Amino acid sequence: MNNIIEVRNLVKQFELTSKLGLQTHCVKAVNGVSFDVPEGETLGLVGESGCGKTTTGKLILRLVKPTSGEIYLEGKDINKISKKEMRRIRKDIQVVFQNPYAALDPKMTVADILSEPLSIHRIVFKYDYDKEVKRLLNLVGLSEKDAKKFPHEFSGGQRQRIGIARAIATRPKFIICDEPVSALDVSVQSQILNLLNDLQKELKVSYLFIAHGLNVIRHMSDKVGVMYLGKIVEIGRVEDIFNNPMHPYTKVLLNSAPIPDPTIIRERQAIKGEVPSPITPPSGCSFHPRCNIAMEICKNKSPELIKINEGHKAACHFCSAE
Amino acid sequence: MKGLLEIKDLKTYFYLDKQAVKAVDGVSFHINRNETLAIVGESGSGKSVTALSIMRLIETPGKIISGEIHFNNVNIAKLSSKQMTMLRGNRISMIYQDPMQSLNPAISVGEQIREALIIHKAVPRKESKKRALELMSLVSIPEAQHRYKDIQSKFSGGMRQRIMTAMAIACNPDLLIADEPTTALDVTIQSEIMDLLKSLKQQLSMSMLLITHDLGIVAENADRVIIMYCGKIMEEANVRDLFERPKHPYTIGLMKCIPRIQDNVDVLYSIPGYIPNASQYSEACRFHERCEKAMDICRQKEPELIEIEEGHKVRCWLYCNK
Ligand SMILES: Nc1ncnc2c1ncn2[C@@H]1O[C@H](COP(=O)(O)OP(=O)(O)OP(=O)(O)O)[C@@H](O)[C@H]1O
Ligand code: SF4
Ligand code: SF4
Ligand SMILES: [Mg+2]
Repeated sequence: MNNIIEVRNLVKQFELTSKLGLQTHCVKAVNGVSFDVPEGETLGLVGESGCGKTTTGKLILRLVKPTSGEIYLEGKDINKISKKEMRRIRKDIQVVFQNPYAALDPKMTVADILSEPLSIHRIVFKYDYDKEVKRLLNLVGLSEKDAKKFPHEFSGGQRQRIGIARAIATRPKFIICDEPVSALDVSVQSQILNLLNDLQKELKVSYLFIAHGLNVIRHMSDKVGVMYLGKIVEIGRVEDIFNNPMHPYTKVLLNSAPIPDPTIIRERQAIKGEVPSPITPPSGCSFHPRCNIAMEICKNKSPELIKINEGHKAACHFCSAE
Repeated sequence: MKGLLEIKDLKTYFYLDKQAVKAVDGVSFHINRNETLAIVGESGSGKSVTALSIMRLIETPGKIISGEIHFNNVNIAKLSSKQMTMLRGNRISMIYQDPMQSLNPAISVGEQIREALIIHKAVPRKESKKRALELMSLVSIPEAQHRYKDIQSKFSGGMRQRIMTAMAIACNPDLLIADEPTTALDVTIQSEIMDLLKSLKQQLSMSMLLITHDLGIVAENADRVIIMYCGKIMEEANVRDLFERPKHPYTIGLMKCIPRIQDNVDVLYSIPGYIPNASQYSEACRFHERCEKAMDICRQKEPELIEIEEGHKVRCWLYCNK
C-alpha cells in the first residue's frame, strides 16, 4: 500500500521567554516523531494534554515550522518544494478543528464558506459553485437550503458538518482531524464519527485522527500512535495497541478509562504523579518517574522505539519481543 | 420527607430577550444518606442548573420559579440568603469542573482551606491550621507541610481539584455536589480523583450528587442514576437496572451510540437530529423529533414520569397504559 504521508524524526522546539525577558526556556513540543499513513487509512494519535498531538498536526499543515525532520506527501518532502507545488499541497492536506464555533467566520453564509476553497484552489468553474456547494452539503448530511444560512443558525453538530464540508471541498488526500468530536454533545458525536468514516470510504481520503478519548480512537483508527511528552512511545495496528499493549504508559492509559458497565469491577493500577512539564522533561525515559517497573537504566538512558512485531513498536527498555 | 435531600417539582428558568429558557422544568428526585446519585445529561439538559438551584446560586436573569428543596427537613428554597450562607460550604458543598476559577489566585491554598474552616466555625481558630494540613493530607497532597503556603498556580490541574475537594469537605458536609469534577483532567488523573471522592464519601459518610455526561464514570461510581434531557427527567433507576434494562428510547440511544474500548463495532448507532432549542419546547415529548419509536400521541402531549418497576421511572408513552 502507498503511504500518503510519511513523517520522519519530526522535532518542534518552542522558545519561551519569561515575563521579564530574563530567562528563556525551550519546550520540545514534538521530539523525534516518525510515522506513516497509508492511502485510505486512519492513524489515531492519543495522549494526555500537552503531549504534542496538536503541534504534530500543525507541523504537517505547515502552520508551524519544524525545527528539524521531514514530512513527505506522496514521497515529496513538503519543506523543500517550489511555491507552485505548495499550492497543491495546501489543497491536498486539510484540517477539521475541535471547536466548530470558532472555526467558521460568523459573517459568511455557508455558501460563501464552502465557495472560498473552491475559488482559491480552482476546484470547479465559477458557474458551478452553487452545484458544488449543494453536492458538498448533501455529502455531509445537510440540506441544500442550508447554503443561505449563517453559522450561528446551526447547532454544534451541524457546524462540525460544515467544517467537514469545507475540508473536503478541495478534494484532499489527507485530513487532520484534531479532536473533532470532543466539543460536541454525546448524542451527536457518533453521527460525526460515522460521517467521517463514510466519507473516508467514499473519497478514499486518509486521516490523522487526534483524540484523548481511547474509545473514540479505537473506533476510528487503523493504526494508533501513543504519545507521551513529545514522543511516540508505542505505535501499531489498532488491535496490537488495544489487545496487546506493550508500553507501561499505554497499559496505564487503557486501564484508566472508565468502563460503562456496572457489573465490571476493575482492578485499577495506580499511577504515580502527573504528567511532568515539557519544559523540564525527566532524564532518560521521560515516563520513568511514573512508571511502576522503572529500573536504574531508565533514569539514564532514553529507550528507542523497537520492533515488537510486524508494524508494532514500543519505546521501553523492558518490552522487547519475547 | 424521603432521604437526605428531596426535590419536588423544581423549575428554574432564565429570562433572555423576553423568552423564558426552561433550563430545569419540573424536576423531582431524592438522595438517600450515603448514596451517590448521578445526573447524566448533555450540555443544556439542566444538570448544572439543578445543582446550582440546590446551592441557591442561581443569579439573574435566572430564577427558581417554583418547587421545594428539602434538605435535612428544611425547605432551603425558602431560606433567607443569610441562612443559606451558613448552610452552603458547611452542610452542602460543591466542587466544579474548573478548580482554577474557583480558587483565589492570590491566597495560598492552605490559607484558603483554613478560611473555609474559620467561616463556618468548624474548629477553634487556634487549631485551624493543623486541621487544614490534615485536610490536605486527607486528599493526598504530597508534602502538605511544604505546600501549605503555595498559591494555586504552582499546582497541576489534578492537585487543584484535590485542594478544592479539601475545602469542600472541610466541614464534613452531609452532601457533596460534584459537577463534572474530572472533565477537565487527563484520563490517568480522572480515575484518581474519582477514587479519592469515592473513598472520602465512605470515610465521612457523605451523600454525593455526581453530575457527568460520561457513562463510564456513572457505571463505576453511582448507586442510582437520573437521565435528564431538555430540562426534564427522562428516566431514573438504580445503576444496574439502568445499564442492563434501559427503558427510555433516549437512554437506549445514548448507551448504543458511545464507542466502547471493549467491543468495537463497525458502524456506531447514532441518534438522529439535534437537541432542540431550550426556548422552543412544545407540548410534545421533548425527544419526539429524534425518537424512532415516536407515535402520534408523542407529538401532541408530553408523558408523565411514571414508576414502572420498583425504583425505575420512565417518561415515555411506550410505558403508559394510555
Ligand atoms: N506556540 C507555542 N509556544 C510555546 N509552547 C507551545 C506552543 N504551542 C504548543 N506549545 C507547548 O507544546 C506542548 C505540546 O502542545 P500541543 O498543543 O501539541 O499538545 P496536545 O497534545 O495537542 O494537547 P491537548 O490534548 O491539550 O490538545 C505543550 O507543552 C504546549 O504548551
Ligand atoms: S523504559 Fe523504564 S521507565 Fe520507561 S517505560 Fe520502560 S520500564 Fe518504564
Ligand atoms: S414518548 Fe414517544 S417520542 Fe417520547 S420517547 Fe417515548 S416513544 Fe419516543
Ligand atoms: Mg490539542
